[in-house]
Amino acid sequence: MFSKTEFHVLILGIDKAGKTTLLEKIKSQYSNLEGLPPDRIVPTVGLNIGRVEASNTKLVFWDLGGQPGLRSIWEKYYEEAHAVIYVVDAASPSRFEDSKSALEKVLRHEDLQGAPLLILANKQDLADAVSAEEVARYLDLKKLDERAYTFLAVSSYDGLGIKESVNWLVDVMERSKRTEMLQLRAGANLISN
Amino acid sequence: MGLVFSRLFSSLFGNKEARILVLGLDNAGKTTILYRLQMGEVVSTIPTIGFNVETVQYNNIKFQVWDLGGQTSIRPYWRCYFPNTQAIIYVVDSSDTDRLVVANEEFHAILEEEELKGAVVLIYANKQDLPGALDDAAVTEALELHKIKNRQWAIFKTSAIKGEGLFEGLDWALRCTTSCVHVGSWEGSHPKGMKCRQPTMIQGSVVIPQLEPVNYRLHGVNFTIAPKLPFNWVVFFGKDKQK
Repeated sequence: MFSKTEFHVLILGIDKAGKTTLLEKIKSQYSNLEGLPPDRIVPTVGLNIGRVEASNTKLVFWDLGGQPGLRSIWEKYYEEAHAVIYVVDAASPSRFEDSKSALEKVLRHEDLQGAPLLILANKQDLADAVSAEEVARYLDLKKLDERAYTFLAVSSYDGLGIKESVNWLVDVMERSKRTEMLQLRAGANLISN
Repeated sequence: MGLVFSRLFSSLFGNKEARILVLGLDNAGKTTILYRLQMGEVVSTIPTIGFNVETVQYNNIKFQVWDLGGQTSIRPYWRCYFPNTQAIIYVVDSSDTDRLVVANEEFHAILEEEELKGAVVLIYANKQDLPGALDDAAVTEALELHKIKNRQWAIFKTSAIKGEGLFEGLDWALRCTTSCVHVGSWEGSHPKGMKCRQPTMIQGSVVIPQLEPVNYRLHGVNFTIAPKLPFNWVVFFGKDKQK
């Protein structure tokens, strides 16, 4: 049986960044399920899942809660992730520091080695949101060269930039070494079982 | 609160049948939770099967409650209650740290059940009012919730005694079940040939399907054990349009 490759994409970021709103927007743009409207979304204290098909690939999004006490479970999902979306509230400069240190911790983890990283400057619908370039400057990330990464400006609220984001992800995941590595490992597991 | 909730339920579920299983070890606080939610009266216990299942019917949602753990011989009967389950509420006594290992094992065993694969999982870290109760992060760790990768889950700190956290959790479960796809069918008999007795509320009386109709009286209520009923396909697809 040959089935389409299934990619697992982690959606991370500190609380109130807009991760679940992003997930719901992706669901409503890529599947026939209507996503939850933003006003019905509450803080996530666990895992939300979205399954969609895009550009002939199957995508499974894992959206994990971002409150400080819950961030310890993020790493339990790293090993099987093909890529990471890191969501930043571009309209809350006061939280950039928290966002930066949480992201640095994510990037240091060896279970995510080589995983493509998409950093989203979210909430572009708000007047005081800064651009993707400015978010990049604030985060000032080192040691990114070992993975594919990019910064994009989006609005999970009105859908700006969502299609570009998903296209970028699919494109890099299809070519990434990490995908190859995960496939090899899955194959090895099949044989040993 | 009750009225708001009643509206929420009817708008979310329309005329579809939905089921929520409330599970946990004995003494986790399941029944107290149902009373707290004031969903209605606990309508039935089924002692003949060998374990008690409390059913609370609220509009089109059945809440069914039973204890996990012990009595492995009656476990196959649990499966009678699995089909059409949209959500599992797993209740943990957060202060009973000695039994968290058992709670973990029972929890993951339940998640393995084929018929429950489509259900979302809500965990109540209950008894937060007791000293020494673990918080949500610690219960997450103890139950190894991170092993769940193919369905939605959420954990809420609750105190059934004080009535805290219950509605928040249930609201999450209802919201996310309405945006999930769930398809199930049931023909009224167990895959391994055991007779299933699934209580169904029909116009105020409890009907338990089996081959011959029998009438009897229990706790002042007239029961009819009716011939096997055809169980409908329940297709749970998308979420209702907002009114």
